[in-house]
Amino acid sequence: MNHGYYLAMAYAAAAIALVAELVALRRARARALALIEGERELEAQD
Amino acid sequence: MNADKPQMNAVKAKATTSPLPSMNFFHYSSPSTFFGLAGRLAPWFFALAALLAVAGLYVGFGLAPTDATQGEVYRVIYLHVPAAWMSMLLYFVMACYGAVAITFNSRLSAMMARAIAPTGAWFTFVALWSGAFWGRPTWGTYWVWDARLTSELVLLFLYFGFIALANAFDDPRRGDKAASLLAIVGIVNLPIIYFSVHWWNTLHQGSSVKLTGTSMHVLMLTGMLLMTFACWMYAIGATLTRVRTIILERERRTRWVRSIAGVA
Repeated sequence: MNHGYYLAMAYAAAAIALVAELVALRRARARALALIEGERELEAQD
Repeated sequence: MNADKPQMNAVKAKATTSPLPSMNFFHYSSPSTFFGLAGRLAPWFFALAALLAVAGLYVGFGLAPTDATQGEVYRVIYLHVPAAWMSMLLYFVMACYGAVAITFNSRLSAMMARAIAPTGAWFTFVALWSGAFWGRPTWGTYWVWDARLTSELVLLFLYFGFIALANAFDDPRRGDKAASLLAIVGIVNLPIIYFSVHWWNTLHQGSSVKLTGTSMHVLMLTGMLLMTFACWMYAIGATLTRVRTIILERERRTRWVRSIAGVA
């Protein structure tokens, strides 16, 4: 039985999930900063 | 009244000129002060996590011997066991933050609970996924409705429920309370997960590591513990990073957020 396949699938999925979480963290931060920037511009227009 | 004034002013002056403001337990319980601390600490936790993971994988894959009965596939433990431990630990910590948030109406505790949930769900998913790819060559199946596996799946749904409930309200404080309550109720699942292998006949094996000792080879144990600490450090780093975003969103109308938004 090729155990390499099962090991690779377990670790590769974890690596993909890790990258996905880190990307999600960065996107959430960028979204929050954009939100603040948007409100700041609205306030400046008023 | 006036006689008390000089004394009060002296107390105020002492409080403001204290050389150790950080020694105050509640100093970092404010989102504005915790924001900076989290930003300073998070990169260190990520770096520590990376170092420990490299060391753990080196010991686990390079030094630890092959298992006599399971062969090479046992090396999934360096991912599966730490992820499973972290999934339970993070839920416990999340529920504790939830309890503090409800009891003391603390904003930062509720934010911390929210910040932990996605990483907890992530670890639960990794534990289930890696377990499936360990189960196929050892048990002959990816999944079985065994007590340990099912209760771990329930944990994943509890995390999803927490995240969904926290975001289901227009008023985030109401979302915090509802989700915290769910987290506290769901804590009953943790002993079920842990003791499931003792309470029921399960396909899942019992614990190899106990407080009284272990049946594992020392190198296998070392690799697993290194990976556990790596996961722990990663979880703290990810939580601190996420809570900063939550603080920015929640406090976006405050002056201090406006002032740091350009450099955060």
